[in-house]
Amino acid sequence: MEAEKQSTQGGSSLSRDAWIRMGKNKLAMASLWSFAIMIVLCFGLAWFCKDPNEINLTNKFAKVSAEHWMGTDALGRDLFSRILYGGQISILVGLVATMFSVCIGITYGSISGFAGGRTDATMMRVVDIMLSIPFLVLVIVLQAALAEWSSNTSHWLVEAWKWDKTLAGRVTNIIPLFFALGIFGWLTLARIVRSQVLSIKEREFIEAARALGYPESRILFRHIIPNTLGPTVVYATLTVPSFIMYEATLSYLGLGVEAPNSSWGILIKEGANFMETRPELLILPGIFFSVTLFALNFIGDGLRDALDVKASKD
Amino acid sequence: MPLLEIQNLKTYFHTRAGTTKAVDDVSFSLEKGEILGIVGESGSGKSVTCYSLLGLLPSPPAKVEGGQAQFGGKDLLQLPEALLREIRGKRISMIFQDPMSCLNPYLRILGQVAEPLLAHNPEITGEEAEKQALEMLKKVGIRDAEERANSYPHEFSGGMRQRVMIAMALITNPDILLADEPTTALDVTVQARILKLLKELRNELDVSVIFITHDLGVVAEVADRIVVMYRGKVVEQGIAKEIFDNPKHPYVKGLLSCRPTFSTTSRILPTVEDFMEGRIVTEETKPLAGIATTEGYRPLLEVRDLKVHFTSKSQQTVRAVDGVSLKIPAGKTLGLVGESGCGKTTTGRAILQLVQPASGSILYNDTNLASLTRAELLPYRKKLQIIFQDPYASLNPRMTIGQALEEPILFHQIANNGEEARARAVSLLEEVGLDPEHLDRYPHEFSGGQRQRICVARALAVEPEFIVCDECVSAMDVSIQAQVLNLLRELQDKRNLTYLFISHDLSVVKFISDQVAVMKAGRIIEFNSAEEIYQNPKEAYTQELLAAVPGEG
Repeated sequence: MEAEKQSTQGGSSLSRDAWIRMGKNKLAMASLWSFAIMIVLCFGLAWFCKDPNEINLTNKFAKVSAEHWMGTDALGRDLFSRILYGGQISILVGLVATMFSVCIGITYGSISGFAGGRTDATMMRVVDIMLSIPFLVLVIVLQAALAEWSSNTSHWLVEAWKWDKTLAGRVTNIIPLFFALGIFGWLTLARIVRSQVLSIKEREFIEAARALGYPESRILFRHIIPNTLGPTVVYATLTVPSFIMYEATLSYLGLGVEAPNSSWGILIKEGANFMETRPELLILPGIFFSVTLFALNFIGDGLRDALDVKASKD
Repeated sequence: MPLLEIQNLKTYFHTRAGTTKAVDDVSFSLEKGEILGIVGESGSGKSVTCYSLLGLLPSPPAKVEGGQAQFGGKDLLQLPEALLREIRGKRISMIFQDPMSCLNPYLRILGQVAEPLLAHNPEITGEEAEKQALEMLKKVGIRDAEERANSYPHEFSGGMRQRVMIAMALITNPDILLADEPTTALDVTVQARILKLLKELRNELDVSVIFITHDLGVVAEVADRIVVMYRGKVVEQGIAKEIFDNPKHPYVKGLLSCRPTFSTTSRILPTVEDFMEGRIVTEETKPLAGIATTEGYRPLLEVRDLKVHFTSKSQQTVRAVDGVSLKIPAGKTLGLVGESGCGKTTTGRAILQLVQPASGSILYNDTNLASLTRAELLPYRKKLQIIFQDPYASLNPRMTIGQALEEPILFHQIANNGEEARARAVSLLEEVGLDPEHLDRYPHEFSGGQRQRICVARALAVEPEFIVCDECVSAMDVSIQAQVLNLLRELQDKRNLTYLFISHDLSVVKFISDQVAVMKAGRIIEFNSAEEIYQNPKEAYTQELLAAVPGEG
């Protein structure tokens, strides 16, 4: 009956249904818009702002003015511009590290779940072992190991490709962070994908595919992995804010992004030094930071509700 | 005055998608000591009716919009929750379909059965309650009740658990027992024993029973009076025998005749639509084309001494299939019947090489499939296909119907290009009775019956000769079941298909099969032509199975 009602609309896929449900979730949609605005600010408007690293000691701790929309910091640098440039790094770290971990996690988890048996047991033990390594220790080791490589690459970029020195510094500075976060981030994701694969491979359409003689690779890539994407997308969306948080934590501890580059973690750290005299130096970057994290978390929750399989059966 | 009188009950579900009238103006009554059967297909509102009485529906979305339910001088629908709680479980008790999920796995049986007494009677001591519980366990036929009372639910079989549920429901000596599909999940022989028990207890304890079920055979077996529901309304009610002998409403007529029974002789089943739309179908128009004698046919498929073993978690070898031999002639149907766990499904999957047999051979046109490599097997994948029980799980939810049908066509190079494949998909959909316009839809947009047609179409996409139908109509309402069975018949006649029809439902197997094999504990214990098995069962187990089929004989 239901199918006949929609005959004019053509097929409605599960993902399209999910988008329609998502559209009805006001909080999630508001969050989606806030995140979009944040992206536009950090990656669009930032290019028209002042140089975030330009020091002007005669104008430190300036109040809000037409020239400095959010005042200046202890070295007279424009705070608004630093927040936007810092946002670039923070958001980029979150997104790229998530992409890393999604790629590794899906590949690893689906192979593990699909192969089953001893392969699965071994692969999952490796995950267990990696999860038991303290995160901070690994990051410190990685940073140290990659420090030389990162400065060499920076030189190479400047000399061979004629890159701007600060840009090269900024890029090579965050690459170890991507590695560190990416290497850790996929572990939980791999577990999620694996458990999805385990349950999907018992479904009858997989057996039907076997009965039709499809090779294992086709079954895995065409029939199993697409069906794991729902939970993966939800988890990935919730990973982005946690990576941004990690970046902030590491930078706050002096292990992540290094001065003079800015990131939200660095700004919060610098702001904390003047918390009593100039609280806005801490509060303003804090607001940007929190809005982004809240938005991403609400988007993740909204996606989870929208992709809920039970709801899609009504 | 009746014990329970329901008048003009209306329960609606208010959701974002709109209002569903789940129960729409339903009236019936229940007399003291009678068994009232409420029959209907899924979505007919039979369960919602009873849940509304006890205030057990989640609200929202459910809302009782009107009506009365007079019980003991009170209107149940108007009672506040606190008073309703005193009635629920004490004067009106319930038993459900799945006894495993209704019993707490962490509590001993005796404690669980005694619990309703303690909950509804604060004066009773624990000792006294357990004494009564033990009494009741004996009454519902738990053997060695004293010893077994201290075991946990998982140590009981499905039938025994249902007996425990019944004991739990009856221990407070209720006036009414609401039984919601209490035997649907049970094997047919176990079901027969539970139905007998319910009738005995009714006589002994003078309790009234409302028996909700989709199964007309079961209702014929137990009910004194029946109420037939269809889309939230009562379409017919009255004395059970009168309704079965002389149904008035076309839906009821259709429902009764679309269900294959042991006496069905037509080759095509009448459908509910035929009756609803006033098309008159007389059973004589399509008589059975002679009883199939399969002697002298060359077998298309021959299974010799097939064994499939699994290793259980405790490292024991489970002999799921333990020496099965079968022969199926081309163009015929072999019915494989047996109760759950007998190995019938595993046999079907081993034939298709979906599970690896431990030993034995599967000869398809004299080629032993069990000895082929993966690559050598590929051409046979086109010839042997399978249709599963659950059409919801057998289609990839992320592929459109078109993609699902075109994939095997292109993979096996039955068509040269996408256009040709699409044309084939269109004709397949037409062949199984679906609108080809639906090609770009996703599986969740179809009903269960439509989905099963799609699964049939997918199996046909590779032009097979042999199809394993694994319980493929078992989860369906009888009206849909009739349509799918007819479709299978038509396709067999048209394409000369050979079926291995696996089912636990003896009536359906009787209808569709030329030969029948009865399976028990991994072996085939009786194998003969369908007529012979049903009229002249030789083995005691076959006789017991046939006698247990509700509503027959």
